[in-house]
Amino acid sequence: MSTATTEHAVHADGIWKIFNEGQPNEVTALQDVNLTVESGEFISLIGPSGCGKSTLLRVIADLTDATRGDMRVAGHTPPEARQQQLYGMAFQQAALFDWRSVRRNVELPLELQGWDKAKRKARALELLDMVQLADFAEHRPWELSGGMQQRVAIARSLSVDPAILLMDEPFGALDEMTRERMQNELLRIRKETGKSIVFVTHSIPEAVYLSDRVVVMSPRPGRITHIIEVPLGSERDEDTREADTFFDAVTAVREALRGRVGGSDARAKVGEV
Amino acid sequence: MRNIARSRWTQVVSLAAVGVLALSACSSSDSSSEETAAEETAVEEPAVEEDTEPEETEEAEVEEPAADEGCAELTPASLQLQWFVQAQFAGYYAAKDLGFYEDNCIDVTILEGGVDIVPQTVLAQGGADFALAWVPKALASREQGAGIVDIGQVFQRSGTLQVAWADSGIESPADFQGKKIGNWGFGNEYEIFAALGKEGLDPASDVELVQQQFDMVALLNREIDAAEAMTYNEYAQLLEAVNPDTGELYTADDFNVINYADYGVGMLQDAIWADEAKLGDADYVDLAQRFVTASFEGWIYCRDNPQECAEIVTANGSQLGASHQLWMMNEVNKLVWPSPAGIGIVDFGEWQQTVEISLNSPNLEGATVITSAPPAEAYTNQFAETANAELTNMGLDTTGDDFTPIEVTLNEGGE
Amino acid sequence: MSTQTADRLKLIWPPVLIAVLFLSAWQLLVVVRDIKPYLLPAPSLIAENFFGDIALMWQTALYTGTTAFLGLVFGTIVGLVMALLAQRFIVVNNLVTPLAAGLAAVPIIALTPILNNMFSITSRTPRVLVTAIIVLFPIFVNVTRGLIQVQPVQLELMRSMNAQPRTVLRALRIPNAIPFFFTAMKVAAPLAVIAALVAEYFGGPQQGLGSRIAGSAANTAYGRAWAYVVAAIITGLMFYLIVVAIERWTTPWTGRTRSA
Repeated sequence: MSTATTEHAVHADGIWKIFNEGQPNEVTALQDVNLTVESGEFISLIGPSGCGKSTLLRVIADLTDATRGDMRVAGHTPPEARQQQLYGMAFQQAALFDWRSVRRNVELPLELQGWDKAKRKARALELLDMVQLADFAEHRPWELSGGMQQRVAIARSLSVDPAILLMDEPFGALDEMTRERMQNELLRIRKETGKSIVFVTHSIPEAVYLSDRVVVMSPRPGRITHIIEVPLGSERDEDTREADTFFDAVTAVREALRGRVGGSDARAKVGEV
Repeated sequence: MRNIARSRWTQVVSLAAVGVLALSACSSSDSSSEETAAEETAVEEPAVEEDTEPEETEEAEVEEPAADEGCAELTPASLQLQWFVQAQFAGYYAAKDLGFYEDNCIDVTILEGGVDIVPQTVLAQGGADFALAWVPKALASREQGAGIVDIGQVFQRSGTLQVAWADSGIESPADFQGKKIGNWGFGNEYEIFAALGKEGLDPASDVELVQQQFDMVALLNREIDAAEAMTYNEYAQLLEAVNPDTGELYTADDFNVINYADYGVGMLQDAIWADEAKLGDADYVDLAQRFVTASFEGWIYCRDNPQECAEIVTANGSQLGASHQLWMMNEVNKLVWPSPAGIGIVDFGEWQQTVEISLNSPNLEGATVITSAPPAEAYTNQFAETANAELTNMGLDTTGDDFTPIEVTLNEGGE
Repeated sequence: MSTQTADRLKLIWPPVLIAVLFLSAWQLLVVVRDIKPYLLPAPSLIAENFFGDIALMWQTALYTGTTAFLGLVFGTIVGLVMALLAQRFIVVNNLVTPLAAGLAAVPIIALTPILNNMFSITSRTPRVLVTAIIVLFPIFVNVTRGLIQVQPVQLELMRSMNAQPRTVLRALRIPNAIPFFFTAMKVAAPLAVIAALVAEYFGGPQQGLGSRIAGSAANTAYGRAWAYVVAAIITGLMFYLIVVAIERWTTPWTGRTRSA
């Protein structure tokens, strides 16, 4: 195995995912996906419904298996990566357990790894501090707002200090202002921890604001159509949202979503994200 | 259900019917004015109108008799039974099927009872014209405001037994001490409490009272030491069961039978009850008299023709097997006959004993059947006496002094 | 008075008022229409019987309540075990659910004589068993649902954390099922009292509410019968309220809007 492979956070090589193969309702969710995510890189997967972005994320997370192809996560197969807890995951719903306090929700992955009580508590408080919710450690999830719950979920996903974060539209259920605040939070966390992040989203500005590269996908069959570099550098803040380079990148992504640049097949219409 | 063999009865009855009608027209006005305040009323001797000679048989009429003779129309009347159709009520079914009610111009509907039906309540609420009930329970209803009167004490003695295995050593209520004594609950257990009281035993601590189901399984399985049973029903269930050791049916020798009547704690049971308020109405009084007379006639017939009456009951839908039905008929006859003063007459001594036990034997909750003695109006012998006189005039034996029970062989399961 | 007390009073007074009005109307009806006790006893007569021997009411209720409690505990334990098996093995779920439904449809009046004959009629056992069988179905159905109906995202989360099935059961399914369990218990607890009471109609020891209601009614002593009924109602209510109290204490999150 070449050293180059072990540096990649994710390396997808000819990944296919076909549901109900051989049956009349056969669906090709992923067709020949090739993608390499460098270590420390932030990439977004964006595209209309059915383009396979969530499926791809789930193949990476070993929540579903690929029909064909080779997937490496931090140099390991997805099952190995999952068993070794090499990634942490966050979903659109925070999925906190109501019967646990905020702190004990964050401790959950550590419990499963067999950490002892004191160590778990310390680590959880540390993480809650990072997401600026230390004061709410003993609160119950329902006492927190949506945005706060997502921050707890993110803290949880960082518990075992994985190299990779997989995030499936984590801010999708939040309002615009909260969303932008959360995006800043995420960038800050990333800066502090240097983790690789694979981020699925419906929002073009969000994808551009957060990512080093934006992976544009399209459906029927699900496949990658464009990978767009985002030249915004590593220092991003509120002003970045108003920079010309930002708008150019957004436009580029939108164009890519609308139709293949220079291509000819039927594409998603504007607004069908 | 007409039986050709009753054609002789038909003539007798039809002749009597005319007489009865005429008599009742006179006597009803008499009885309504005569308040039967005293417990023992003088027996009324009505004038004999027709000369009834059973030997004379007029072959002219074969069927359809008295219906047109003096009966402009049949008065409908209903009788509420205490339980499902069985030989315990044979007299009434016989009276119906043999046309005795019809001959008295009554169209009787017999209403079957059941687990949740309280006959005297049905009567008091107007759901039936007459009802059968045991005296203690009826007295309890009376005390709670149900206006009912005992107009015919058909069963003259108690048929309640406590049955134990012959090897149990239980031969009298005194032996109940420390034993598991089964009873049916539902207010049927007061004779047991009375017996225990007489022996100086405390029901709460000296015996273990257990409610039986309406079968004898608990005794057969020896889960209880003695079971409550009626002579005419549950006791037979024991004798219809197969002894696993011998492969034969159990016999009377296998059991010790304790008859509460023998211990002076028997209470009066099946009686005909009428609506007290309606007894102020001349038509109802007349109906009651006719009903009582015809019913007694049915009972007399069943005394003399037990087999036939058992069959009548079965034909009316009883689920009991033939031998069990006959046993029941025979045992019930023993409770009715002999009737020393005449069928249906309330014996004052027996009444007093029933009242005394009902007043003074508390159950486990400390409750007695009644809290104060019933007034004299709670029963009347006027109807029974009139009926007895009429039936005697028809040549029927109303006391059954020479009554001899038959031998009944039970088969397995009562078939 | 504090606002909390004032709020509580606001909640309580309407039903109390209705109860008082109802009882007054009943009493008035009986008195004015001179309705005899054998038809309808007056509330005053019932109260007389109830308070007249409150020790007896208590003892009687205690006896039936004990039967109900034992049956409830036994039926709940069996129901929980069955639910765990049904969640773990789908074949058990498919097999047992229709059977349990069928068993639940058998009325108490049919079950009791059968059990009385199978077990000793002189003991509490048949009645405890009847109660347990009646209680089993709501517990089994609700807890099974609670164990199975976890949010898919929660299952994905657990998988992403490399949780084994047993851990998923302990950390996710069981806590998720607890509100479902209490829903079932709120039905089962009063039902246990009813079952224990009805089972007493069919034979056995006679110190319980069912036996005494039947005995009093059979002797037309409806005032006393209804007094026992009042005792039965109170017993059932106590069972229910205790379950509610335990629920409040152990699962403070129930009833609130769930978190995202």
